[in-house]
Amino acid sequence: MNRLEERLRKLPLASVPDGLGRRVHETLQAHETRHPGFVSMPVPLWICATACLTFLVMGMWLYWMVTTPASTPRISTTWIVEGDSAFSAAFANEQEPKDFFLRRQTLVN
Amino acid sequence: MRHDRIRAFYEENRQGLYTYALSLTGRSAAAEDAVHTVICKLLQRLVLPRSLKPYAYRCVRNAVVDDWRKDESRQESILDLEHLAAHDAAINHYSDIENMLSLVGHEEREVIILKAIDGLTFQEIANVCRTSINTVASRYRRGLEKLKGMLQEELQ
Repeated sequence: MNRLEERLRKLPLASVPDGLGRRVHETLQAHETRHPGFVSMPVPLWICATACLTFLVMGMWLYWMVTTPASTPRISTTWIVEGDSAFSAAFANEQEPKDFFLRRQTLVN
Repeated sequence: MRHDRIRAFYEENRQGLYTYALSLTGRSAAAEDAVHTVICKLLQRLVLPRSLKPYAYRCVRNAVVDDWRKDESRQESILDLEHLAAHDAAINHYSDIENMLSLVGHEEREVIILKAIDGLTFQEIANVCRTSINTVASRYRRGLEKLKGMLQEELQ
C-alpha cells in the first residue's frame, strides 16, 4: 500500500495555468488598492486596538477621579490661567484650593 | 497583512487547489474559476480562518459541487502528460493510473487525491468533505485497495 501511495505522490500533475496566477494577483492588488493595509487590519486586531484605547481612556479618567480631592472644582479655567506662584504657594501652605480662591476673590474685591 | 497571508497561501497551495478542482470538474477553465472563487471568498471574509487549507479546499468543493457529478463530458487530465511525450511507456503508465483513479468511484477518488496527491490529513479531509474522519479513512483504504487490485489485474 505504501508503494502505491508513493507512486500516486509522484504523479506528474498538470501545472497551474499562468492565467490563473495573473487573475489572482490582479484580484489581490485591486482589493489591496480599495482596502489599504490599515483598513484591512484583521478584525481581532481592530477589537484589541479599540479595547486598549478604551481601557486607557477609562484608566486616565479613573485616576483623575481618585487623585483629585472632592472639594476642588473639577474643571476650572481659572486654575489654568492662574498657574502662578501664588497658586503654588497656596498648595505649599496646605491650604485648600477653595480657600485660596475665596481669599483671592476677597483681595481682588 | 491579510493580503500577504492570502498571497502566501495561494503561492504555497495553488498546485494542490488546482489539481483538486480539476479532478472534480474535469475542465481547466472551471478549475481556474473555482480556485479564483476561493481567493475572492477569502478576501470577502472579515476574519480569516485560523487554518486556511481545509477552508480553501471546502470552498473549491462548494464552488464546483453543483456540476461535478452531472457533467460527464468533462475529463481533462489532472496529469501533465504532454511533457512526458519523450517517454511513451511513462505516459501509458501514468494514464493507466489516472484511468484507474476514475474507476474507483467519486468519493474514494476525491479522498485519494486529497490525501495522497495534495497531502491533506484525514482530519482536514473530513472538514473539507463534511464527514467523519473514520468515513474518510475507510474511503481512502477502500480506494487504495481497489486501485491495487486493478494494478495487479493489469500486471497479470
